[in-house]
Amino acid sequence: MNPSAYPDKIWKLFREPRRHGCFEAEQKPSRGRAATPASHAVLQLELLVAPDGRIDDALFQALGCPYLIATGAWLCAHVTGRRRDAMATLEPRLIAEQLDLPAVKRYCAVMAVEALNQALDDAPTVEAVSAPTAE
Amino acid sequence: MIYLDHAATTPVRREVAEAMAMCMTETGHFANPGSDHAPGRQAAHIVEQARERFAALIGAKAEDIVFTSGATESNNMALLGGAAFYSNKGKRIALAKTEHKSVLDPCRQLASRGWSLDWLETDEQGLITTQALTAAITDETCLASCMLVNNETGVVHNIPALARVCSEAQVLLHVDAAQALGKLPIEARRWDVAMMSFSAHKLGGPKGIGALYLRRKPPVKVQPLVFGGGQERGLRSGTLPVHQIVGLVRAAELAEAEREQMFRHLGRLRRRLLDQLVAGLPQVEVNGAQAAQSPHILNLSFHGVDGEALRADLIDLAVSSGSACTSDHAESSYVLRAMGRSDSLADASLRFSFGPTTTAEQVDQAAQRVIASVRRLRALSPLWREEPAA
Repeated sequence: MNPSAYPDKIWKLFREPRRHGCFEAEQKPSRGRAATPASHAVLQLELLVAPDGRIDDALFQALGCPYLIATGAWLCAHVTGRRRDAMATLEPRLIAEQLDLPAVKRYCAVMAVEALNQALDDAPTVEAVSAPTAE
Repeated sequence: MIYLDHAATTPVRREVAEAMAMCMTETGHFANPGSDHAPGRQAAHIVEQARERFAALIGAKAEDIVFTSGATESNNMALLGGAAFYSNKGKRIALAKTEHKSVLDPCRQLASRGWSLDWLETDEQGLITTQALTAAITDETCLASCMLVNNETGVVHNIPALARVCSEAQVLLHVDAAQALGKLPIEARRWDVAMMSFSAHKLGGPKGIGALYLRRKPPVKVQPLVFGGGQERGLRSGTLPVHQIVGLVRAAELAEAEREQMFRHLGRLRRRLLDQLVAGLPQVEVNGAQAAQSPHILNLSFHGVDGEALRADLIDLAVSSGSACTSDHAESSYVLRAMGRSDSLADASLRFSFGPTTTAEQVDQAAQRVIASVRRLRALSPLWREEPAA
């Protein structure tokens, strides 16, 4: 029983969010960011995507309500270890269901998918990684 | 839990609860003050004594006082009842958007019935100037309303000066003094206000009781909102709650006796909290007026954090804000926005309010918790390191 007005899962992820922060620049993370108008809420996701398409690690940063912070933390845990092509089809509905987001907080799931898709687009493809660099 | 929300409500003081208990049980003064038998007359005597004592505390006479269920009812009675009586002069009311909702909503009710609301501009500290009031008053203005102490920011209005403007323009001034009773000296007759609202539970009294000062010389009239047994000279029907009235007056007397000492105590607590937060955190803004400020309220905005997240994180700190969070774009404090604060800063605000039982140790603990939460949330934000507010 948590003492807050938030569901247990949200409260735990908000109070102890794992995988928050940024990677070192030399790790060359791919990055995606979603924001509401006027940047009242911002969710940033960084991914380390291996050449074989596996997402090795993920970190998030968020400015927003406890639901958004919890969504960022959940997203990082969910995508880590999974394949990028599988994650490219992740839908907001699944995130909202997994986190029991109330209707007025569904935008958190939409932002999560937007940030994820941006980060996946930002990640080099296998072909790009293996292509010879121009001398 | 650290309780720093005394502007929302206060615990009933032990002396008050004891005085109230004497009027509730079979061995006490439980009778109906309207009954024409000995116990009833005794109860009526207690009520009239209480009325005189309360009037003395606010610089009024007993005949000026109508007991109500609280400041919300007093505000409704003053504005709806006053508007109904004086509408022949004109149907305009001057007020600021920083008023309490129990003032704004009755006025909006009047607007739906054909009245016009003339909004008073506040300065960036949230204060209404005499110039703003003068500019808003027209020949058709019959009422103006201005709170003595703002419930969110604690700014103190210069009611005597505003009352002079109203007197010269033959406008009735209503003052919501819910946050001021027991904190500041109040001189209702000398200030020449027409109506003034009070509440007991902001100063160690019970919830559900308040009063309306209704000037008798020269007389101010209102049409009643509640009809029935004709109590309170027909202005507010309903069996008088003797225990509640005794509670209101006992709490107000205790607060008045300690007022100057408490003013200094609350001022020290306010300064202590502000100093620690400003020393511990960059980018903190004070909402209010340093020069005209009730010491029991400190309202701060924190750059770079979300208001809902901040309030949620301070789980063991009972503080308040004017925000109502229901969506991605929280409806931030209308008072702070009316003062010119951005939505984000108005949302990321906390109102700390202190009372007689607040200690320096509680303030120190609160400061450490707020500093820790703001730092944690800023560290989570992708914008804080990139674009710290200028």
